[in-house]
Order: sequence, then C-alpha cells, then structure tokens
Amino acid sequence: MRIFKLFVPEKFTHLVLDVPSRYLISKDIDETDYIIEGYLPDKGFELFIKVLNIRHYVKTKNLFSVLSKYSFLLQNRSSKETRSLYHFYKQKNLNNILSAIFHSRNSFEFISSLFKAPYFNSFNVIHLFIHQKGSKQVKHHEVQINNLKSHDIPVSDFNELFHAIKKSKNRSFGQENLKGTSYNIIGTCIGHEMSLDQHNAIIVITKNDFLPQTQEDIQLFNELVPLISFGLNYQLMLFFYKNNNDLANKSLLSLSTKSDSKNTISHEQLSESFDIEHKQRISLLGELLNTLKHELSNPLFGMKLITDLLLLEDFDDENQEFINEISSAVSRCQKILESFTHLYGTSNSIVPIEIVSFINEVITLTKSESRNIKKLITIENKLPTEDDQKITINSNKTLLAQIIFNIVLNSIQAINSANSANSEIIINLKNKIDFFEIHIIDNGPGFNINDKNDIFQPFFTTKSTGTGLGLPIAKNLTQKLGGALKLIESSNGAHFLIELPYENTNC
Amino acid sequence: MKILIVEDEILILKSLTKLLEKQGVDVTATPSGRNAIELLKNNSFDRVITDLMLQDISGFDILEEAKQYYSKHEIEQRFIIITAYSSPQVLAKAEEYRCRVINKPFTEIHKTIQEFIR
Repeated sequence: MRIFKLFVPEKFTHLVLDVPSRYLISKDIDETDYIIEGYLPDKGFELFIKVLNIRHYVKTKNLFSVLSKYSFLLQNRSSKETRSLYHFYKQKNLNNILSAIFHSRNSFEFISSLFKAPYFNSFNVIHLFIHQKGSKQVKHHEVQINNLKSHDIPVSDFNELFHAIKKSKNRSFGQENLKGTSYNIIGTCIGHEMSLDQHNAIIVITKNDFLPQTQEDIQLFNELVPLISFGLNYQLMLFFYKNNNDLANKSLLSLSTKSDSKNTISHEQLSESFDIEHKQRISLLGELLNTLKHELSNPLFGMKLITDLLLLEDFDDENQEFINEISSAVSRCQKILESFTHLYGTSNSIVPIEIVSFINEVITLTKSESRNIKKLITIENKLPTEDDQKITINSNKTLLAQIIFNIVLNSIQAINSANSANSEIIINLKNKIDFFEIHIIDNGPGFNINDKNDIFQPFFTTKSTGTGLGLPIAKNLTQKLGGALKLIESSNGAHFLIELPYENTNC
Repeated sequence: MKILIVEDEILILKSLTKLLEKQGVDVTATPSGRNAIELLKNNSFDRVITDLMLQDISGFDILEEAKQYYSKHEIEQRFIIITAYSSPQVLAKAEEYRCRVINKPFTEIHKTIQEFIR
C-alpha cells in the first residue's frame, strides 16, 4: 500500500486521503475550495501531486483516478509483466510526462518538455491544436526541440482533422489525408484527439518521414495520451483559473462565507457565477450535441431509407402498420436531433427568428413531460398583411430558447404536480410599440402569495426535486437580451411576460 | 446504367443499393474508399455516388483519382457527394470539381437520386 504524503496548508485541518480506495475523501472541508500539495516518494520514482481545485474546474476525482492508474503500474514493478523492456520503457516515459505536468508553468512549457521523454525524443515535431470551446479560432503550435511556432487556423480545418483522426485506423495517417488545409504536417504521423473541460485539442507527432509508424509506436502513444490529455487540461485550467481569479474568488467567497457570517449573497455576484456556469454548460452541450448528431444521423438516415423502401412492398396490414410506426419514429428522432442542434449549436450572434416555428421547436423538446398538456400559440396585434409563420424578431436563438424552455418547463412541472385535468399552456405573442411580448400562461396551481417575491431568487424552490435555478436563469438571460421577465398578477395559474426589444444590440 | 456507391455506413449502402437495383440499375457497392479507387481503375461507371468521410480515405481522394479516367465535364455529370458535414469548406472544395453535394439526412433523397440517374 502506498501513501501519498500531503502537505496541507494550515487553515485546512481535517483531511483524510485514502489512496487505495482511489478517491479523495475530505471531511469538514468545503469540497469546492482547497489546495493540496504533496508528493509520493518511491524508489527511483518521485511523483508530485499538486491539486489546485477551484470549484469544479479542475476535477480532483479525475486527477486521482489518473494517478492511481499510473501508480498501480509503479507499484507492480517487481512483477514479471512489468519487468519486460516495453513496460520499463513505458514507465520511464510516464514518469517523464508526470514530471513535465507538475514542473511546467504553462501548456507550451508542458508540451515542449514532452521531448524529455525518450519516446517523444524520437520524433521531430509535436503539433498541438487547441480549440477553446466557443471560440472562432484554433491555436496551432508546432513544437520542435528548440523551436516553437504558433499561429491561428480556422475552426473548420480543426474539425476536419479531428474527424480525420477519429476515423483513421489506429490513429495513424499520412499528410495526404490533410490536403488543402491551412497547416502543414509532413510525413506519416500519429495523432489523437482530446476532449478537455474547456477545450478540444489534437496532438499529432511526426518524424517528418514517410515510413509507416510501427505498431509499438502507435500502441505506446495511445497509452500515453490519457496522461498527456490530463496534463494539458491541468495546465489550461490553471491558466483559465488565473485569468478568472477575481471572478472565481468573488463567487467562491460569497458562497463559502454563507455559513459563518450572516451576509447575504448579492444578486450581482450570483449572476456572474451563473454566467460562467451557463456558458460552460451551453458550450459543453453544443459539443455533445454535435457529436451525438454526427454519430446518430448516419444510422438514422439508413433506417429511414430502409423503411421507406420496405413501404413500397406489399405486406399484410399488421406488418405494414409496424413499418409505418418505425418510419415515423425515425423521422421523429431526426427532427428532435435537428431541433436540438439548431437551438444549441449556434453561436452568440443575433439573427432573425421566425418566432412561431421557433417556439414550436422549443416545445418539441419538452414533449416527454408535457404529453397531456395542450399547448396553444396565439397572436395579437399582427399586421393584416402578416402571415403567422413569418413574424420575425431579432434575437439570440440559444438564449431565447433557454428562456422559453425554462418557463414552459416550470409550468409543465407545476401542472404535473397538481395532476389537474384539462391543463393547458397558452403562449400569446403581442406586437407592442417598444417591445415584442411573449406571454406564457398556464392554468396550473399558480404561486402562493407569499412566494411571489421570491420566485426569481436563486435556489428558491417549492418543488422537491427543483434546483431553484430555472426562473432566475431565465430572468438573467432575458436581461442579457435587453429585455425583461415579469410575473403578471393572475387569478388562475401562472402568467409570465417576456419583453424583448425588436432590435437587439446588447449581445 | 452502371453505378458505383461508396459509403461506409452499411445501412445506407445497402438501402441505396436496393433502391437503385429495384429500378434496374447495375449497382456496384463498397464501403471502402481504396476499393472504390480499384474499381474506378478497372471499370467504367455511368454514375458514382460517394460519401466524404470514409473509414480509410476521403471522398475527395476518390474524385482526385477519378480525374485520371474521366474528363472534367464527366466528373461534373457523373459524380455526386453525400455528406453529413457540409461546411463551407467542403462546399468550396466540391465546387472545384463542380460536383453536386447532398446533405445527410437528405429528405428528398428519392427525388434527387432519380434526377441524378436520369
């Protein structure tokens, strides 16, 4: 059994670290706020652990699962398997990389110091592509032993490489697969894509020659990638943390002082931390949805084609019906996938939105929970020449979808908890002079008179499983769009009003 | 009419093959890009339908190879790209070959294919 020796700063006292259980167990310490430095002495190997955990940005659990995976290798050095030359070589490399992770001051230094590992030393160039999620540019670093070149490339080129690597056999490919791109990679190479907390990254290594990579080269590379990926994430998140130091400290402080002083948390501070979390969630979601879309749309498309083909044949009624069901289910899946990516995939830009079909798309996403609830969209004050479907406003799709989704979901959950029959949600659109108004009205149980002032307060909830964040987030996002979210007095159910400016310049 | 289909999603490959065979088209189907290049070398096809993201090579590699056996005009007439990733970059590259592009999932597949093989 190995024990990680830890130096715990004075102000943290009760810390229990149980390495064999592979998890960090801390007691009486706010889990979101601690700093640990420690090392693992081991004959011939020295392992440094440095955890700087700021909320969930650097995931401690990940660190320890990564480390325990590798420390397992260190522990079993005497066994037969690990005495083999390959394993000795691998350990030497792992050790070099670990040391690079914790001795480097930033991500470039980390990548440059990879050359200290004998494995990487046998290669000429390390190409590192880093894309911060949501950003329009990708950094391409071309690292040689004594040389570093960096420049920006378009995201589309990055994506192409990302998919080329994912599809390549054994992650090994040649420059001929990368024709017409804005970066220059010479020879046959090995690459691996990495999905990190805030970034997507690709590492490509090449010897600048055209000889195929050996199986051993490829195998070891793939075994080293998780540790490199961890190290890169660690360095990038440290950088991210440093840049957002003030902000993170502020929100941390406001949250952690909650118990010992009676200070209330200002709304401003909270909304700042909401913003970060919300952006993170949205960009993560966008990333996930893109992968999901690409992975699912091909097989779905195949299923659609096959069922359409089968429908041309003669079957008895029962089978015909089954095939019809499959066909419409597949279409529904495609449609849901489309609306999701449509709503969450787009960038921060303000675009014209055809509001009626847009709201319908948002409502599709709530379908499973709202099957029994009637939903109606009505329009007032429209110009005689205007077609319902053609009413457009300028706004941000992602934010507006989230706002409407949160409010509609709130109504649905209220209605479902009350179990009332004949429930409905009416969405009424009004063209006013200053604002475009979206009224969301339900005939559910409404709000208790005492709660009315609190519903936009973060963490206020009356539902057993609620987070108390849905409505505050909706209000916050409406303000970001230059509008307002209001609760309207109503004798029956809940009535929300979203006011949106026609020309949005705030975002 | 002789058609080559290159697509690594087997469900799509099989259904497209079936769809076209039903119309009396002589279909050669392969999920492999390299195999497709071999086939292009040894056969003459009236139409070629190819995916872009194949397991081994890119659909553009196939088009590049096809230049040896088909004139520019023939490539424009006979080749069609199907893809799930129609980024502006892909479209621009397809424009170089003056090739048609259909997006997956393409709703009007039957119609497009009908027009294409006419």
